[in-house]
Amino acid sequence: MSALAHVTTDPAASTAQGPRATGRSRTAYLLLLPGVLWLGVFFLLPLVQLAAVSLQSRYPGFPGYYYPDLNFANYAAALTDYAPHFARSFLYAGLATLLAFLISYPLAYAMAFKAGRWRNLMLICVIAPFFTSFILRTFAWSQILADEGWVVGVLSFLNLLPGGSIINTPVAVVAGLTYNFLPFMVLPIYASLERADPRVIEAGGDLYANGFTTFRTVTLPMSMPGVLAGTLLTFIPAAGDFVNMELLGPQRGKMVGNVINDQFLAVPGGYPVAAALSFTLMAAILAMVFLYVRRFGTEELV
Amino acid sequence: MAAMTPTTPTSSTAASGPAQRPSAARRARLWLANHFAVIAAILVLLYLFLPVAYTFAFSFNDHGRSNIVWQGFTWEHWQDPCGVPGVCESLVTSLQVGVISTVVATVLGTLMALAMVRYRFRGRSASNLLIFVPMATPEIVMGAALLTIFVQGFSNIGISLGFGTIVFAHIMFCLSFVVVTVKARLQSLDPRIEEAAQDLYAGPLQTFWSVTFPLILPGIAGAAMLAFSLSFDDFIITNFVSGNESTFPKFVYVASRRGIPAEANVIGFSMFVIAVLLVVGAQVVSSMRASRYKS
Amino acid sequence: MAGVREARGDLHLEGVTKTFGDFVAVDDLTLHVPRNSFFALLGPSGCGKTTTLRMVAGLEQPTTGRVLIGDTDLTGSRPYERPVNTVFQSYALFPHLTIRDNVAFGPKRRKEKDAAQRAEDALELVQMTQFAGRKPAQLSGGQQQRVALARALVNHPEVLLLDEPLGALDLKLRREMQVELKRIQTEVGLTFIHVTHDQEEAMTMADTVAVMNKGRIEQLGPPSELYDLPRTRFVANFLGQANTGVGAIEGIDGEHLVADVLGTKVKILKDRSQVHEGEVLFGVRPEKVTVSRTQPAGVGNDVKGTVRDVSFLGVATSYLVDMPSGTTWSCYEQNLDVEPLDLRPGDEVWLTWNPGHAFGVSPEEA
Ligand SMILES: Nc1ncnc2c1ncn2[C@@H]1O[C@H](COP(=O)(O)OP(=O)(O)O)[C@@H](O)[C@H]1O
Ligand SMILES: [Mg+2]
Repeated sequence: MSALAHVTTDPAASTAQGPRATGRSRTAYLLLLPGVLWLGVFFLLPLVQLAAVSLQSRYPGFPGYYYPDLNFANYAAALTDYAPHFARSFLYAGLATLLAFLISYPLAYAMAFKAGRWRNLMLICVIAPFFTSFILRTFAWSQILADEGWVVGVLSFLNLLPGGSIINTPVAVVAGLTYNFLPFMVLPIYASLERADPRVIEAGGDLYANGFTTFRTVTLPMSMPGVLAGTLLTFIPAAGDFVNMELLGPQRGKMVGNVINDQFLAVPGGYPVAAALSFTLMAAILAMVFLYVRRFGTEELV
Repeated sequence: MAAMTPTTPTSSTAASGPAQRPSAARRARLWLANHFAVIAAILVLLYLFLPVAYTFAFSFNDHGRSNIVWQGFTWEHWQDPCGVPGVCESLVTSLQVGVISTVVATVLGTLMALAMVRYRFRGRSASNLLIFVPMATPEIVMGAALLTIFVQGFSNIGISLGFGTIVFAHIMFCLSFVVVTVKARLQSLDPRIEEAAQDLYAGPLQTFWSVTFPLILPGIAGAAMLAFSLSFDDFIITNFVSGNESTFPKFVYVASRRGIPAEANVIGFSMFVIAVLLVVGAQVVSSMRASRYKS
Repeated sequence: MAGVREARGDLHLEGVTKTFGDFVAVDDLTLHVPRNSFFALLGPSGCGKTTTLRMVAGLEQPTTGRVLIGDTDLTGSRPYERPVNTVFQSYALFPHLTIRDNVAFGPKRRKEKDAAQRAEDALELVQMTQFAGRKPAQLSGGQQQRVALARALVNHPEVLLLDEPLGALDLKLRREMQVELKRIQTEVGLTFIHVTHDQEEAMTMADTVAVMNKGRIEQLGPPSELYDLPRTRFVANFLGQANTGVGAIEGIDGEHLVADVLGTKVKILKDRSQVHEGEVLFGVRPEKVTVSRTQPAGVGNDVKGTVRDVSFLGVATSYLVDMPSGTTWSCYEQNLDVEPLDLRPGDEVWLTWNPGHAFGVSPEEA
């Protein structure tokens, strides 16, 4: 999972190997061919098909049968009927990303600067929970946050829970999303902090003699590539998720992922609108990613 | 005192002189400021393990119809993890899908990484984009897109949803992660080392097998592990392309309506233990090797 | 290309140019390195030394020009086809192989039957036998350097390229290795091309030194010749120290040119000057200059100056003297006299030299 740390690389690394522009392009194309073909057939082509489906029309009276068309009403329906779902998806994913950042940073910081010989063990501890199935862990949260559980018990006792319940509320969904994508935040931040020189941070400490100022002006900027990668890797899957909503969330007020899933797999005749929804979701996320990377990141993405 | 803790925000108040002992509250504050990150880290790690502990605990639940609340202790599920129909079949499917996807994605991804790092060619940035975009695409979109093409396009050429389509899809989404992991390893490899091999009479293939490959092998192994864990744990895409085939995550998801049978907890927790043992074992072996070099 | 590996003879570079984009790294270089000589390529960092070596090794192809060994044209052949081996600047040892396997790498690729024995011999030559079972990371810089040398030598290449092989070593180790390298070269009798930016290293080790600057060879010859009679301003300043001044040539006095350097008349032997009219850069080496309290009678090549600094170096004393022209000269006096000159900063002194030791070059930098 450490690979995720490299979604953004520093430009120095990519220019450093400029001189090795050796080799003949024919070999390069041969090496690329199988992988590119695979991505072409099982990523690009399906997306083209998805675009086509998103413009198809239904045969009236024959749910599940469609004919090719340029039916932009599907997009209109997707954007009007399901605007609240989009809003919820982005809101919950945004909150989860923020929470994950706040939770991850101290852990990544401790791993990079305080852990010493415990570092590898901590790294394993971060990854290890993810070797149990994602669904099993999410289900476990539904038990932890259940009305009869100790979390609700403690919070009610402290009078901190006006609604009386966590499970089946948006709070539980955000909690689940935060938990599920946490390592995607921790690992990139850790990787970029680990590359930073602790002496620079000490120097910052000497200059400002104030922990928070040092953090804000020295430590945080140095870890920005990791924060950037981490927020993307958390936000993107969180915005498209439907499992947390399904297992932890309320019956009404679903996210866009649930709609897409249900329209494709449960509702007969739902393909075109679901495809339009998928396409809109992808376009929105890619647009955000590129704006975000342009604003904070480096040129070369991978 | 002030000299000892130069980074604490409150050090200006410590000017009262070395003879005076700081108050207990102040000492506690200093201690907290110094250990904040460590304490927070330990709490976060506990938080990460909490659901795993629940999964473990509920594998002993003597549940009747639904395994949602605790009803009593039993060894029963550990004695016969396959006791529930379908659970072991789905596990076997997941393992098979995982192994095939990992092998194919690792080979294809390593080749791509070699091309991306070692060559400059036309279409390089387009290839870069093609590798990046799948990682920035939500799984649900990939799943939906694959479903539409499998149902409306490829069904005409005799492909129907099932084991094969799961494998095709898994290879696709693992590929980008393999490329990125191997690429990072290749980029950190000193190109002079390969040049030295060429200088010492090794042709391109000999250079690759005798020098490049052994040196990027840890990266390839890491990529394979990543691919396997992505594949083994995937639910969203699998759910779209699996038809009637069931994988372990899909089995668990379907069962979750009524409470997941404790046998699934047994299997899930065992996979966790096996994976942790493998990782720790690899760590121990590599650190033992490292310490042997030092002596 | 069958014959490339068997190529034998002197190394020739013929009009070799290498450009990266529109940057010219090596500029129309023509070079002849006799077989079995110790040849040093000396120049400041970035002047194109590594690029030149890489073209000889085949790791880089010249943009134009040819590389030959004997009569065999190597241009266009791959590195693994050439009878050339390199000791890389960063050593580039294979981190995953033991020292023994590192050294045996070349012979094994060439399918030599006695690869293992050869590796042992090569390790013995560089006195690294006891480390044969280790990995490179377990060796010090100096030890790695020896292994890199053994790994190249074991192949008995026709030409051995050494790219600043001692650059990463500390001074003491560097001096030791200089002697050692020289010994090994004499013992194995191969063509060594030794790249360095350390002029002292080049001069002590090589039979022939080529001084390189901005992709060109400025001067080539035995070290003593380069030192005694530099042909360009760059060589005069890069190889050892020189006291210099720019002046105008005013006339001829028998064997000598007479130049006016900021008010002082100086003489240069005609055949020791590269220019015979117009502007000239006059120069004389510090140890050729004599310091005295009084004006020596009737020599002529003398200037009065003020002592700025005196450093006692044991065998010699070094003086820095401010000249009326505003420049500072440095002079070395051997401490032979029973009563040494007792000079202090501020004292007025006369500097004299034998006009036969002066040289003149064009004041233009190439
Ligand atoms: N592959 C390359 N691409 C672009 N410029 C290069 C490349 N290799 C070397 N150069 C440039 O050529 C010049 C000479 O480099 P080099 O031969 O390494 O110098 P030296 O070894 O004398 O220090 C330097 O300015 C360097 O930046
Ligand atoms: Mg160099």
